[in-house]
Amino acid sequence: MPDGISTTKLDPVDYAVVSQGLIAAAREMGVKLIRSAYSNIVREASDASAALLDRDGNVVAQAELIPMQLGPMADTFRACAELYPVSELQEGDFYINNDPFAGGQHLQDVFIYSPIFVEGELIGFSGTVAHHLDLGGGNPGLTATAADVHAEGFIFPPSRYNYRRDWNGGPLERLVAANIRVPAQTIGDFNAQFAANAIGMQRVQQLAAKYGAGTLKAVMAELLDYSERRVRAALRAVPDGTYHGEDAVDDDGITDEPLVVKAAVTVSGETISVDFAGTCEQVTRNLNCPFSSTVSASLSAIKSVLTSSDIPFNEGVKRPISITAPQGSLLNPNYPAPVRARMEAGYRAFNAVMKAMAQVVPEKVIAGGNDTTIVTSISHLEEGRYRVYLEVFGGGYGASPNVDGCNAVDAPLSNCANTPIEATDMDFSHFRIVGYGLLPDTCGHGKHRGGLGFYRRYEILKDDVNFAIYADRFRLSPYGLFGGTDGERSRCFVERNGEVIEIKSKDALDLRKGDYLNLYTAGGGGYGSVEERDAADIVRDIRHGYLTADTARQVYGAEKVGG
Amino acid sequence: MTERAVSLGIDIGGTFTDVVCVTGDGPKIFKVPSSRSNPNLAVTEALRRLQEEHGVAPQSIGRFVHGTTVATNAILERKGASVGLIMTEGFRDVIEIGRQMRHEMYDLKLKPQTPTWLAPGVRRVEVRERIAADGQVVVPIDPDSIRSAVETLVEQDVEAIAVCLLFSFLDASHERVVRDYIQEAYPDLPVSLSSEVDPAFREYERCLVTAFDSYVKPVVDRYLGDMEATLESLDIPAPLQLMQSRGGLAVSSVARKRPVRMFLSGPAAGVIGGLSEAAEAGIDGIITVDVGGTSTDVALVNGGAPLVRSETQIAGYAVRVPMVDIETLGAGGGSICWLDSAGGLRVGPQSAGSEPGPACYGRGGSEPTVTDASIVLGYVDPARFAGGRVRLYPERAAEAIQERIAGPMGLSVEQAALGIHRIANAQISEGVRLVSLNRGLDPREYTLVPLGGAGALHAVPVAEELGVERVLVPRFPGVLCAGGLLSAPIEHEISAAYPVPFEKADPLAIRTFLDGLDRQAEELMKAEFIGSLPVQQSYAADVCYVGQSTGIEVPFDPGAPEMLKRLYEAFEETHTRIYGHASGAPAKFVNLRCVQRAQLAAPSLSDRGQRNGALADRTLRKVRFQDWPDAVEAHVVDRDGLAVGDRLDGPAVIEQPDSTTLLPPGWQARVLDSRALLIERRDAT
Repeated sequence: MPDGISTTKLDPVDYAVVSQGLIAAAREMGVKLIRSAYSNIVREASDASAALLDRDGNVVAQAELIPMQLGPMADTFRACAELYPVSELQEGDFYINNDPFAGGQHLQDVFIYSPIFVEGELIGFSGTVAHHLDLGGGNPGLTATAADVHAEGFIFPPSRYNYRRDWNGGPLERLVAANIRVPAQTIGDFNAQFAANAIGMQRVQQLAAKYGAGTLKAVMAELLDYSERRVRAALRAVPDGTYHGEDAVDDDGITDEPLVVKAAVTVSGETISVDFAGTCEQVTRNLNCPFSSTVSASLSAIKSVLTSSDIPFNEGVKRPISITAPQGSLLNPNYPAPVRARMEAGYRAFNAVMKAMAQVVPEKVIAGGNDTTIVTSISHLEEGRYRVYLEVFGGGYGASPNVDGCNAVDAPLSNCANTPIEATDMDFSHFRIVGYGLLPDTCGHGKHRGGLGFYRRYEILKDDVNFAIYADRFRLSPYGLFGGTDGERSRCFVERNGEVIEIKSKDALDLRKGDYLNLYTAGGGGYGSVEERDAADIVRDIRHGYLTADTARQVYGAEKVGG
Repeated sequence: MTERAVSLGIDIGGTFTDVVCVTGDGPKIFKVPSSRSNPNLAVTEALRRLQEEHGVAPQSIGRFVHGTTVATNAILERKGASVGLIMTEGFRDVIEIGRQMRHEMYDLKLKPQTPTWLAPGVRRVEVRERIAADGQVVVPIDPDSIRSAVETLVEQDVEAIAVCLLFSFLDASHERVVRDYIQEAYPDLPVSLSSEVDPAFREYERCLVTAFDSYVKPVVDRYLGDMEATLESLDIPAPLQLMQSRGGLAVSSVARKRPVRMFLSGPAAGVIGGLSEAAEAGIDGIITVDVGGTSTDVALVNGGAPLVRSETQIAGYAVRVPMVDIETLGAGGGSICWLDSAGGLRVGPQSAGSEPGPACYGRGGSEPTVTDASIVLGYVDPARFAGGRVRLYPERAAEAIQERIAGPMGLSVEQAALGIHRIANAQISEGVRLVSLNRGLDPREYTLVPLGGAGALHAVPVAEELGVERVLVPRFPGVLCAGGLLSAPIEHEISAAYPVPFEKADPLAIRTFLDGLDRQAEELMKAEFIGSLPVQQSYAADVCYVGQSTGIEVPFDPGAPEMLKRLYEAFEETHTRIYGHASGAPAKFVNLRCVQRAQLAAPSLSDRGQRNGALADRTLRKVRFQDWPDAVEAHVVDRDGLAVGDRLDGPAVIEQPDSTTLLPPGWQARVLDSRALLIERRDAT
């Protein structure tokens, strides 16, 4: 097929075929990335994402893995392209960036973009991001008390390198390997990113060979326009007005002061804007949320509430949406703020937008859930080698107008799997997992109840084990909506010689042999009033152990529950 | 040939049951309607017709091979047993929590993401015991806890029990103690042990497949018991053999022990059928494309045996059942064509099914399907569809396409129909890329083998799209699943976890471990009636780098010199092929596997010496092809009348009762000795 077909002349069937091909290619990149990764955080938890971008860095197709990681693709890309123009790139070059103050999120998420050339012309990029297990920093795994971003690990400022020259035994690879604790795994994960980028590159080149680079470019443009039209159509259906929502992070890990997040959501015709004015100032601990994370969180809330899930999430989705947050606030911090635990404030931004929208589209929102990234690290130095176990936990999902919240599932901005008990126990000898199950009664109640949280229990098998956690919802409960009650909060504690040591949501502690570490995750809030709950559902919940009979009688009344 | 030489393959599908019976005077091939409520009915009906219409006496049937969807349907229709689940203390909810992931990224209204219905809370109990990651017993199993756990389940009237204890893949003794207790106390209660169903790590995945095994066990048991009784009452001397999802056969007494392995055996049989046709034509390296009503199955076969993967999708859940590596796409003949909200043309994954069916069926379906497009384009003759047994309404097909697609898009009905085919073919091509490029293999070096009623309509356009040079159309593509039953080997596979790094591995210890697996496989083979048939043994290891956990299957010869070195090199080669890189880093074993296979002589499905002269009888019909602005006059040929050696140039349409082959301009078809059609680019012939 000849080159140079303009957008307006794009054959509708060509469009259907090529656009599906691009989406399939992005998905394939995601599968490769996860399957060939080394660290458990990528291969078991799937904490990684992949996308194809056009020449200007607009995401056109993505593997839907982690919502939070895909928002900032364009921003991290542009920071690189501003310094090293696209026009100067050679085959084999790549952009790399993890700088939270240049479009990135936290340092662990490293973005890599590889240019795709077709007959010498650069027509797009394949990009991946993976959460790296350890990038140096103050402590193995995570540094709860980091004073600034430098204490959190290795920064890749927006840069351009060449794979053959600088990686693959070259100077960049050696520099990175020398500054991290588990180089075999981390470098292996970087290699998985490069391999996935190469797959995306091949697939796009094959499409270009068949349909011509011109058609491919036209299809990329139309994919963006398509998503934009769909979002605009959805926005037109929402009544104009400004709606307010507010939520808060428990505390900053030092004082007990909640960190308040405020959102004003304005719908006007077919556009929507979110302003986080009134949000608290940035803090000295790692709870600051880089602006690109704030944008991702808000976009996810808007997309999942207002549009159906068949709209491809790409740069076109963002066009009718604008997001602002005051410079120097928790949601748009200044350098050198530590940002490792940015998801907690990111979730509150999500919740604040959700609460604002509850006022205008109550049938489309859900109640608050665990809505927290609970990250725990249990590490140990053995014979000069660090053993770092990192795991991310979900909890109960918020109830919706139609169904109960899902039990024990990862929260909306993320989609990390747990690591199998057997995989963990085979990999680490400084602890053993001795319990993992649902926590009855932890849901909020209502016409529909929230999802249950769960517990994890570890037996510590060695002395000098380092435990660190960042989490939230230890102090402020997941909220119910429209009469639904709040979900139960999270909790973490250690049993030592018959004593109970409470651990705070952002904390670290040295553990000893014989300790039992317990983590309880939060339950989801209820939706609608408890009077509307179907008696049969209550009976079923009691029968299957989700609800104790005592709690059921207290909440729903003895006459409804029965004996 | 002796009277006993009759071989019978019966494959039960959703709508029709395919029957292929090979006798001394050629194959008898027909379909009977399936009955969902009593699948046995189709079998007795097939046997009746064989005797009455084809003169095949039940007593003469020497082989009886069966493919059944009974296990799959039990799950899809949620008609399995009430299962009780026994887990290690502290871990009863593993099956509900699963991997804590959501299926849909931006869907807020989440239903349970795991199949909690298999064993809801009240039917999940714990026993006090614990085995550590190194196989050491940390907590010995407590008999009192077994008793109370089992009593709790019995009070819930469970019909089957699944047992999944942590690290049972390293030490199965605790699970066996639980089974011994149940068998003693409740001998009629079937028990599935995770250490037998799937002895590999990852507790949720192992628990899930074990629970599914329990869920279908009583259903499969009843079904096979009934069928064995039917065969006995009819004096059929053949043992009942069943197709397994790995693509091998097992005698019914063995298949009943691991019923979960009967999932999705139909698609596996199709791949085996394609393989057998290709072998008969002297072709190695094929990609089968099985176009059904709602979906298309694509598989790549290299070197005589299909690839097997360790996991499959059942009712939307990933279940660890070894299965012929098939990609299933949501596009088939009945797939609905629609415009998305931006006016983009889409095909599937919704399907019109068999009720109401495509618009041209005239049963009230108003949405256009791929089959409707085939009618509009002249690919399918409405008068001869399905051998003329189904009446079609071509005007309804055109109306539906005009109203829903062509009108809104501003295209002619024919242009829209061509677009529908292009999109369906692009989706099928995508599936072909997944099974080939995804594994580092070039599809252009393979031959496409279409199966299913509609496979041969799409195969050549798909070959064109991919740059594939050859397409082999089997003699009876529409009933190839049933044919595949007769050419599949008897096969038993035993695998077990072997978590040992290469640096600590000892070839002698590996040999000893494999000997144990061999003995188990031999035990199963003993139940087969194979007489003096030779048994082939092969071995494979799942290997990954230390730090990874997704193993890659690498075949190896345990007796070879420098075995570990060779195996490591083979692993790195495979890793490079699949993932594009290898690191030279230390590797470890995940599982070891032994496969024993006995290949029966496959009866030929070719029907030599029937009538010829179809080329002389050909007619002309207006047909539309991709990249041709107008309809062209294509030859229409009756496949049943083609003789060995006949050649035909496209444009042509080759018709037969179970299928239609589309031969676009630029391609030539040739009838091989086996009476399969080999289609090649004309410039290549």
